[in-house]
Amino acid sequence: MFKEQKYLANEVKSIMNLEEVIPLFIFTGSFTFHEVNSHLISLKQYLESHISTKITKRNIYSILVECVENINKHGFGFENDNQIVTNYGYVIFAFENNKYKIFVGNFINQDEIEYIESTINEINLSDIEDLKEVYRDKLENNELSKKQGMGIGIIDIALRSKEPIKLTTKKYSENASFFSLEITVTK
Amino acid sequence: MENLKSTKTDTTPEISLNFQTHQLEFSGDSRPENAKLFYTPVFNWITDYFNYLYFLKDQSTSDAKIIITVNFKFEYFNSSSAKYIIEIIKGLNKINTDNPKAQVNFNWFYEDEDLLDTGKEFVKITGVPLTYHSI
Repeated sequence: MFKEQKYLANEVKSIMNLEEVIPLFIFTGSFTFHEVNSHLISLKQYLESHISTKITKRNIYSILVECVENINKHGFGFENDNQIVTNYGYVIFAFENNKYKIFVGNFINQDEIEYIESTINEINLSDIEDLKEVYRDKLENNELSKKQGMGIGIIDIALRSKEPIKLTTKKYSENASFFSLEITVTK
Repeated sequence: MENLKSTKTDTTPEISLNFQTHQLEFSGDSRPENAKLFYTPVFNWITDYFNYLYFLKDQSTSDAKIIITVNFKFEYFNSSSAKYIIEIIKGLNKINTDNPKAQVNFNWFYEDEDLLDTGKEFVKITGVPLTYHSI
């Protein structure tokens, strides 16, 4: 358990050390629904008081909700001595070179890596109209996170960001990998 | 049949479904922990309401249609909730297609362009017209 937290801390530190990144809001640790919820309430208040453009505020909030819910619902759970399973992750909302950035990282099942990489590559190669069509198709056909959690949420993120999503994966253990995304939101 | 009322929380919308006044309203944020679980009572209510309207139709001697008003006043909903909102629109629109003595009017309230665009997307998906209202 501490091993995973230490790993997370190092990941967060490496983002914080990026010269141009100005962190505005950070959550790191376990992602239960109640913890996620309290983070999101605080974040909403932060956005209300710090960002004046409605559409930017809505895009950032929507992307962050999808990111934290993704960690909560689809992260790789580590079991401690008391059989409590925890999903660990981080979400950093930052400012970099006149754009907002969302850095998100969590452990995922090793088996999902290939699918996630191909999905994100496909999303990055699609234009907005294609993505809108896929989004509509998934809603129309009642398709929610059909495979391993990479469903409508990530498309919603891409539609709101309108910029390529940067994905990094690192093998963590026999069964788990560490998955991180860098998402840009133009002001 | 009973009215369905659900109080607004940080993660769930306020829902008021009134079978007596035929006023149905959803407002606030929707990002429940389990969207399926949260929206199941709404779908159950819609099924009961659909049957209730048939009963009313049989009882009524008047030619006047029952006008049902549905107001969507969401401030925010996540992608999981979007699926259920679409199903609610489709479910209630069955009244329009199957019950000649009732008419459902759908109102979509929006506070910014993003919510307006989402409403327009929902029209493309469901084929059900929404009347837009800026707030």
